[in-house]
Amino acid sequence: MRRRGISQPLAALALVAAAGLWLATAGFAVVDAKPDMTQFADLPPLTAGHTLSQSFTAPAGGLSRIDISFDKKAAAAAGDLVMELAAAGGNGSGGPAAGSAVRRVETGAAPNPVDGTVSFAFAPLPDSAGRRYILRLRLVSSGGEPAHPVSVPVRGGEEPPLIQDGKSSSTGLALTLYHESGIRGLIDRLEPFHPPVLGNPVFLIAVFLTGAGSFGWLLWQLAAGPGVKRRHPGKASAHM
Amino acid sequence: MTSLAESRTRNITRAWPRYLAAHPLIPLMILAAAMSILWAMASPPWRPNDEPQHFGYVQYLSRHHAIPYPGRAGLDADMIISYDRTNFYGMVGKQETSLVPGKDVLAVAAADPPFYYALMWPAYRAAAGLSVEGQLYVVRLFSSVIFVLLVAAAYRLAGLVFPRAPYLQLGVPLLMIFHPQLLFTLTSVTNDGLVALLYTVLFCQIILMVREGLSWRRALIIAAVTGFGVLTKLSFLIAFPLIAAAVAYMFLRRRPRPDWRRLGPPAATALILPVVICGWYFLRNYLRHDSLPPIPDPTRGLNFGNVGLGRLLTGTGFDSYIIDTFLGTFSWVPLPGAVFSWFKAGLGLAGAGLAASLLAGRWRRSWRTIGPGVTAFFGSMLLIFFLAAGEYEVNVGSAQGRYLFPVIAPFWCLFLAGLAALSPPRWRARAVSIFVAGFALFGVWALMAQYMARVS
Repeated sequence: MRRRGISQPLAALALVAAAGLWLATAGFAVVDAKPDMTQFADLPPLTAGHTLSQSFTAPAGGLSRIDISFDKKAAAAAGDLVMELAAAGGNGSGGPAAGSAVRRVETGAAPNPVDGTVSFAFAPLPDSAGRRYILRLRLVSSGGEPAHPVSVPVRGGEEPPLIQDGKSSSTGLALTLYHESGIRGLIDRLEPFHPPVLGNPVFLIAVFLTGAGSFGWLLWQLAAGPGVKRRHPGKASAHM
Repeated sequence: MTSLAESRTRNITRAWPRYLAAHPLIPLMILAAAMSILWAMASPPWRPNDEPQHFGYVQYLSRHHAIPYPGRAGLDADMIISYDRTNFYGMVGKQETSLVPGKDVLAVAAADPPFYYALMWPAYRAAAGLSVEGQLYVVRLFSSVIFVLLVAAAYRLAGLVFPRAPYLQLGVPLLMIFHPQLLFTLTSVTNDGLVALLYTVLFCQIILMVREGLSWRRALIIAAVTGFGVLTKLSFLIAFPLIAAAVAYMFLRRRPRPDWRRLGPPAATALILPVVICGWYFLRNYLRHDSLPPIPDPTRGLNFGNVGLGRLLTGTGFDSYIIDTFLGTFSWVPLPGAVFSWFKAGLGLAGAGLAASLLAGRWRRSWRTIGPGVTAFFGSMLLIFFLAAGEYEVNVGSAQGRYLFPVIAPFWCLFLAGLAALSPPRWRARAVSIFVAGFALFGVWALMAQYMARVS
């Protein structure tokens, strides 16, 4: 079958090269911990001008994203949410202390309708492993529906309580923490339980690149295949 | 001067691209196998839907040499210990487990017939020297072969439906290969994949039966597929009225005129032989437990309240929930809201495209992408399974989009034919390839998200 332009083997090779380059250089936001959403409770609505503060310890270096859970059944909030992240003061009082913001993110207040989260992505904090941070959250809005954050039980009493307008709470915001990692970070997640060979990163990367090559081949066949050159492709349809 | 070996090598090197181009099923199955392996390894142990119960069924078969029954069989202790070891609840933050060995959790899978689990039993035995998690991964991998076969069956079905449109023949299985929830579910330990495979084979056979007639060979294939399908999951009982309707259509149509004597015996065989193949299971249940099918599970939690089927389908957001869980709620990684919206818009566009294709095709055949008979057949099957999911939600609870996977190949056939119909015939191949490439990006993102979401 004659074709103009690049051949199918070349298309497959190009996709393998692109996939390899992407795997080698891309950053992946890896989940560190997820909240227990089986026991969540409603917090008072967060209205414009009020602030929620919560301290937490980042389990890994490269903290790059925090998802905060909201009540997905409530009406979507109007306006923007502003999240500020500051290094904790370390005063040992058990509550969040003031500190200068190291990251600030502003994003739409309407949560993802599927799981009720709002994502705050920011430039990675390379030395975040084991460090305590204070998260401050406020709603910027000129009226309209407030935000409806939810709270979850604090694990093991490790973190100081949530502070809302100066009042402390025994629960905490439902936070999902992510850290930025390369392909190595993904691979590290695989090793504990996989049988021999199947958990080997080299094997899995080879499988991925094989898939990329096959897809490149097929995509080229699909785009430039014989179906294009037929005069009446509509006659192709079946009639039962 | 070149040696004979060198000459042969050169010939082979030149020939294999041509061979692969002529046999696209080979790269298609390689791609399906690669994606299956990656997904099977990506999902942490026990996280896919009801996986502990399905694996527990295989374990029960192996350890007790008997078929489990709801309420009378439970998970063994080693799996419950594995829950803690693999941080099963770490994913959702729960700290401890309250499961009781031998009593809890197996009920859902125990209501299913044993065929799939018996097929998985050799893989479980072959991995006997590994930890329970290692055994799970080996059984997953073995189960993934079913997904690869499903892709091949979908290619065959698309070949029957779109005989002269290779871009649609390839596009349908490619969309299945990059469908996140399908991969997440079918590369885990579950009988959903085998049901989807057997239904897809049955659809192929029914189309061939209506077009070419019902030979004895085809009747035996249909009977075997139906019998073993019912032995895989009780939802396969829908096949009986489907076959009966297809046979009735063949009897009633004017062209070609039905030959009652030739059609009757194989048709009766296709409907009666499956009862013989799967009847022992129901007879056994009746003799041992006084019930033909297993006793239904207790209500699992109604997501939309006890509202009745009509209200559920029209006023509760059940349809959006089904779409969401059909596309990808894998391992609690949320689907991006934009993808959900695009997919929903795509459904509307595909529906409009199908209608336009059928209408325009009446006066200009080149605009038609799919025949009206196939559209009616696939559309009614989709509707039946959607209504069945609604009925399940009303009576039992926790219905999900994966309950539509038995009709996954017909769904993507209709979807792609509808979208392709929106572009002029000369552009369709490129339009389909652009859509498939975009969907593949989404599929790869979902795969990576599955790795990124592991908390182990």
